[in-house]
Amino acid sequence: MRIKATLVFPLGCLLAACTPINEEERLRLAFETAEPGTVIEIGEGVISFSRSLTLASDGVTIKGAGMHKTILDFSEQIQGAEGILVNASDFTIEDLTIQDTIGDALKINQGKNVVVRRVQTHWTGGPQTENGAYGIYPVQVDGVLVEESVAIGASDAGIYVGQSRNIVVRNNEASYNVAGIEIENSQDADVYGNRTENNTGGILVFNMPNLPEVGERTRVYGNEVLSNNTSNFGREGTAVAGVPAGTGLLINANDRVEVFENKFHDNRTAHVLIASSFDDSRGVQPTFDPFPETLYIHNNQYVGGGDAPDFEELETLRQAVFSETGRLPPIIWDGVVNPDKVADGILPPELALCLGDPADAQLVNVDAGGGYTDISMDMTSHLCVHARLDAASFRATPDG
Amino acid sequence: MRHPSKVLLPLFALLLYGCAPPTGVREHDPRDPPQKLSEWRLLTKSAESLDLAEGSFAYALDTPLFSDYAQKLRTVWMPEGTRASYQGDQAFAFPVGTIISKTFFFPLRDGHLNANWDHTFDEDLRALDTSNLKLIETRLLVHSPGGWVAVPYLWDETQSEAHLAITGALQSLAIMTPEESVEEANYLVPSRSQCASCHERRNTGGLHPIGPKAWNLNVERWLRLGYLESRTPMAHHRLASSVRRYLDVNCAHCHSEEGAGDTSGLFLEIFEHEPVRLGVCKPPIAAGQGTGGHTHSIEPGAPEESILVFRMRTQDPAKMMPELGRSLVHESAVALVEDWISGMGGSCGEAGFGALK
Repeated sequence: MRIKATLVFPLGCLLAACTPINEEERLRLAFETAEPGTVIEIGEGVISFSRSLTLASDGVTIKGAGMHKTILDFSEQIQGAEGILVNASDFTIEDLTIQDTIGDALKINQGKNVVVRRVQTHWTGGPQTENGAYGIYPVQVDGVLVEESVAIGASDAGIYVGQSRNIVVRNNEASYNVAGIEIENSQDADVYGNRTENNTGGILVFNMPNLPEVGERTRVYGNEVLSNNTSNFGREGTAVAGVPAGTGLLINANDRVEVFENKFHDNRTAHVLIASSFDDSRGVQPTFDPFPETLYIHNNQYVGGGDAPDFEELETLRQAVFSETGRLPPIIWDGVVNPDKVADGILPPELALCLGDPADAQLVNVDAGGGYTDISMDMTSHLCVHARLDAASFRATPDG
Repeated sequence: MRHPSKVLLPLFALLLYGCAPPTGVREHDPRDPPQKLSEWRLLTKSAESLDLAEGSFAYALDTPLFSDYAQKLRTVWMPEGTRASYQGDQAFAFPVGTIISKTFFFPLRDGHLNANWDHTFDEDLRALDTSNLKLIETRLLVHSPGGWVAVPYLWDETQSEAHLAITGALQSLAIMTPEESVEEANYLVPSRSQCASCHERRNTGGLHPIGPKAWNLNVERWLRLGYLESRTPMAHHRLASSVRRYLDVNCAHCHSEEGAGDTSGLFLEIFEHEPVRLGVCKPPIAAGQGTGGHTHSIEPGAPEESILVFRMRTQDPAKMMPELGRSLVHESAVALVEDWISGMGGSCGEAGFGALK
């Protein structure tokens, strides 16, 4: 480690009472004594951890020798809900692997300007419900860049950006997670150049109730969303546990989402699934808007898929309407709209679900709100365009 | 009135001891703390006792944080002539220079660390009899001009000194629980930044004391001793139920608007009254494994289906709450929360994510 070797030793265990310094404790001491500007370099090799690492200082960079060369192994972990927990701003982590944490691999809670680059989070035993929930997990961060990273095996989401703003998630790979990449209750996000393959759901854009931040303005473009057909192994009770296997992209209750130039291949429930967040329980604040609106999905490539939906009503529909060997159309919409905003049975143009004009893909409205009775392939109200969304930045809002 | 001794003792000391070496608390830069706790002269360990420095005093909390059944000696020291002041629902505001200490220890019984200790501190305690105790750690919270700084110290095997432990420690302790079973605790001495995980408030930045809130301590005593400016009408929280007090003390340092747990949408401060924010029928946000397979934080009338109870009962670090500070189950507290939820009426209604469900 480059970090101030002179600092490590005087503060270290010169005293009999201390735990002998091993690699774990040496790195922990580096985290605990880091200051703004500190670069913690971690060399090649595997370091085993029994406890979480926590970083509280702003302005710290953690740098490994390479994603597959520096391995932080938490398979023997007995304490801590994360592998690495960061409560700090201006944080960069790159070129290492965090594997087999008992909880989340890398959680960055409340900060600004966070960069995660060439970091792999990996549960090595394959997709299992007992795996940790989140791989790369910035939450309540303003200014997020996650790039060239790899997330494998998370029992919730591989790359999960929650309640954040100014987000770029690009050129990553996510596989064998329940959700490959998830943008939740976040604003101004670009998700592009990623490859999500063999997850339960490839990319999710979600809004959840009871949170102060309402998600909107996400662009999903230029991604490869392939064969996300892994059986759902999420923990019952979590939001993602309800995602059908075979989902390419799921937009749930989120507004102003633009989806273009993606390759959707062989997602066996639906390449694109659009749903409202149905919930008439006491547990949702009345201010919550469960309806996805102002969506614009255009110029994508759809290959295969829709042939084995992991959802009883959809499978019934497929067989009844599209034949025993047929496929559901690439885009499945639950058809639920805000009754307060509908005029003459359709949403006003500014809220519409637009598929371009002409559209490049067929949509089916499955009438989930009406019990799957009024199935419609009518494209009339979807042959439209919205204004393009602006590119997102990964720098925090000035003075934000 | 502040200790008569505060005024008179220095005079007596001068008369009696003349030029004896200076005693009393020695202030240090907490960002560059001394290696030994004794160098603060805040707590002095002798063969049979841990003695409080002149000018400091011990205080108790009506409802304490659960820490694997550890007992705690809490002391506060403020510079001569300064006092704490009320700060609304938050912990008191303390003057710069204040040092709060918390020493974690267990009584010994038959070779075990005994959680079943029926003992109340004398409020005017000046020395803790340590003859049958095991001291584990002493955490300092020091109010420097640049803000509060946490400084963890770990007591050594000889029990004569506690040493700086910036990185904390994990200790395997055999603890005799109140239910008379011996359990192995993975007792965590938090690292400095783990201290911050609980003590840091996001919106104001920096660390703050958590424990000394008006409704949770003996305000009259603080006033009488001269350590608190004046009385304010905070007493109504004293009427809160024991379960709400417990949840505040054990959870609300994170589950508050300014805490790290606000990401969950669950708010457990003693003054919170909106049922959904308290978790009633609330779906989890990012609980991951912590749902235990349940769909609501609180399922009214059904504690066994409530995430809150599941997370208090599990000992799996990836699932449990609080995330830091316990490895054992606080059985009596779980029972308290279960009773509370059992008494709630109504059902949650139908819920699901996505109309497809």
